[in-house]
Amino acid sequence: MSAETSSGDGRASVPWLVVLACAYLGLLALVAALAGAIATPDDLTSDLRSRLLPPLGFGGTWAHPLGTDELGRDMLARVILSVRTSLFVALVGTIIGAVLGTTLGMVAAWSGGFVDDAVMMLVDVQASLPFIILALAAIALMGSGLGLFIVVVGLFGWERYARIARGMTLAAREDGYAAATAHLGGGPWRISVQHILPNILGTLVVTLTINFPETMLLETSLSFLGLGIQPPNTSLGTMLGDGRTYLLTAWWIAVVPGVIISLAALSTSLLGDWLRDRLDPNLRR
Amino acid sequence: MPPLLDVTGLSKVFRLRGPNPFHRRRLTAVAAVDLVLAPGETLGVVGESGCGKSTLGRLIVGDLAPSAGTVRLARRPVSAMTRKERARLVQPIVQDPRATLDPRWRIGALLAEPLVIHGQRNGSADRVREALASVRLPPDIADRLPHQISGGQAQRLAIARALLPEPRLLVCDEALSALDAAVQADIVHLLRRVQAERDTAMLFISHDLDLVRHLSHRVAVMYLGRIVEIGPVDRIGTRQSHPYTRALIGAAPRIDPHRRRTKRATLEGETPSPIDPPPGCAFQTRCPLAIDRCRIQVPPPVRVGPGQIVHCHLAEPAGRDHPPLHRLAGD
Repeated sequence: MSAETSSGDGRASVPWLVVLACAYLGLLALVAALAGAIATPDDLTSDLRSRLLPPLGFGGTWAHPLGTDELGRDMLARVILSVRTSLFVALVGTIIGAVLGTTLGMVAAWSGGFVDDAVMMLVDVQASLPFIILALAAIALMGSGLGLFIVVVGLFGWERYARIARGMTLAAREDGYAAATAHLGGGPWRISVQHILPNILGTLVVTLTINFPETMLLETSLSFLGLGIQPPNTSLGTMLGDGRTYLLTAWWIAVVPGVIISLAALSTSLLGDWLRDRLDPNLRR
Repeated sequence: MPPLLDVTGLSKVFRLRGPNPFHRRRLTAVAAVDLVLAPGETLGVVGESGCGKSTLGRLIVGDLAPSAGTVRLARRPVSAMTRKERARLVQPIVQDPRATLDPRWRIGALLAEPLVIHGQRNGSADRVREALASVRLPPDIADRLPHQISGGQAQRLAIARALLPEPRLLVCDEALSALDAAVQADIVHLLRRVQAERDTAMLFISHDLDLVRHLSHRVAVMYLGRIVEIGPVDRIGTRQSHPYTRALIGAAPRIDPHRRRTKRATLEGETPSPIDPPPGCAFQTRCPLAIDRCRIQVPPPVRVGPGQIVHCHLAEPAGRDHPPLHRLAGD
């Protein structure tokens, strides 16, 4: 048998698209992290004399490299602050959803019976309701603070993790390494955290990378509808909403945040696909 | 000496989902099984597919809860033990050892896990090295991942891991069936050595009669969830045996060029379904010797020889001449 596969040979080279995606996401993260140092809300003072200036290369100047918006605010400063808000909301929201969903899914799988039925019913309810309506109702009833907004966004998509975590936990419990750990005396906690979770992490990460852009878009939609990030705070979604009116005369107001969001979504998906392949130990050389 | 394993009246009934939700059909996988096993003894369990031998193994390691009866290990019911207590008494060895190894864990970490679970973290590195040496695996294998070792190595590893909690009973369910002959011989040798060194008892579940004969002190033959015969390995299949045992042994292929083709006791028809088992003796629908009583009454155990118990109405207690069972032997 050729079981003597050497573990040397180094890692497979990373595809350039993934490198590019990582670079882009890294840049966004850096911008978000340093946003406070680069741009301050003071940079967002309106200046009606210089409203709707085009970006560099389209007749703009270095004073406003990405142009200005309808109130004469510097687009670059707005984009930097928006990236921070949007990334923060999407990231925290996605993590809330992932942790909540995975936990509920695993608990359902271990408990069975009534708890399992209840969780799965919640999953079905969540999956069958248009989430944006739920979010609208929640925000309309309870106000529009940033905290609540993040929680609402976080509830988006948890049912996917719950389904996956439950199914994979049930499958892993039935045979193989989980059963072996139980035979050796290990309890549900050890089996779930040390064995099942690392093994389903790849699938969960892929789900996360699918969910992350959707969460960003949800933030965008809610902000667009005026229920998300409230002025004077700004997010990519608010910018997109503002820019809609000027699409024909000052396209950059909508296009700049739009491109940033799309590229972020694309990059996360590319990265997720690649990560899934990397995280599968059976493909590791 | 008190038995290590004491199984009394053990039954397992599965309720099946059927077309009628108000009347669930019942599948009797194990029915009223009694057996005992002494420390250091090997009991082979044989029977055709679906006879309940694997279910019996799962009941004994505590994977399944019995529908009736009890499994006692070292005089205590398995159902009343904690997971850790049970782990220190009984460990399973399964057919596909690789599936029991977490693909993400290195071999060394997998071997250390039972020690961590049982709070013996101190000196675990040494014990892992000893464990590898005791199953003749090279020490550098500890750095590998499970998919980087061969099937035979994986089975040795599974055995080493199962032995770390120092169990007194190993339940081997088709543990050698997936291995080729040379590796099988190797593992048989290993199991025998383990047994000699540690006085570990073994329940050896297999469909391979030759292997069972080779490894076991005693053999239990199962048919439709019941043990139809249990006895010392050299008495199984002899003249006093259950008609099913003799058919099972007659059906096993054998390579022996000097032996002429003799008429073998083979069976007609299919094994009845365990969902609606026949009344009386489970074997009556296929038994060439069945009499009226077999269709009505479940046969009681009859002691036909030293340590040999047969569940058959036609079996004669030890000491009498010319038991009617001789008719099948073709004398």
